Amino acid sequence: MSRAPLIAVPGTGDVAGQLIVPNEVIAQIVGLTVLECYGVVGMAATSLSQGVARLLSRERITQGVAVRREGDQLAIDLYVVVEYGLNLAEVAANVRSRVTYMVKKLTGIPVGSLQIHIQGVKRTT
Amino acid sequence: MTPRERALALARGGQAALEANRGRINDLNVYPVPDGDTGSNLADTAGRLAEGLAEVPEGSSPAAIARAASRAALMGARGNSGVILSQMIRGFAESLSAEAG
Repeated sequence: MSRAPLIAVPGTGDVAGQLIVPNEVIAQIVGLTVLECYGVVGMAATSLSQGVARLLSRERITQGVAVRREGDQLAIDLYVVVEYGLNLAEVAANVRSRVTYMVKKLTGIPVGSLQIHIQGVKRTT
Repeated sequence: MTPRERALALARGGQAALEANRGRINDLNVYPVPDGDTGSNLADTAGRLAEGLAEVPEGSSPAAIARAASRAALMGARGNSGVILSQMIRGFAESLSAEAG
């Protein structure tokens, strides 16, 4: 993922200044938040390798997240592998609400759109 | 009581207990998002489970009832807590149907 562009959050209060949040940091927040969600096995690479989802190690989770800025909001794509046997729509809905909530809470930047790509399902037990 | 009636009574009892405590559980909700819907999600999921069991034909085998319970909870899961509840139901159902054969 490219390092630029940085995302600036306007300062509030009496002191001038901005909070600068690089896209990579947002991608890390998204990745770590997603890993905490029930039913998510892991982040996945954005492209399938020979039709099969590739699970990313914890150090590489940002490779399963794409962050863009659209106006004052973020547009995020994330790629996951979900536990087999769960209601995928509901797991995705939970990921959506948790990620939207955490990104806004930790950075102050609202999430305008969030695309969740389920790259695969996996039986872990 | 037939196995179906027993399963349905169990599911409706659980649903009633969750309905009765819906507000209390909603007030506790801080994770994954503190939007106060955990009690409602659990009660709704339990309701879908009971509805699914009500559709099981009388005379069905315990194994078939267990599978129907698992499926109803899976499809009816609402929210994070509902998905987790559906997994617990699935665990019960799988060992029940394994024992029942």
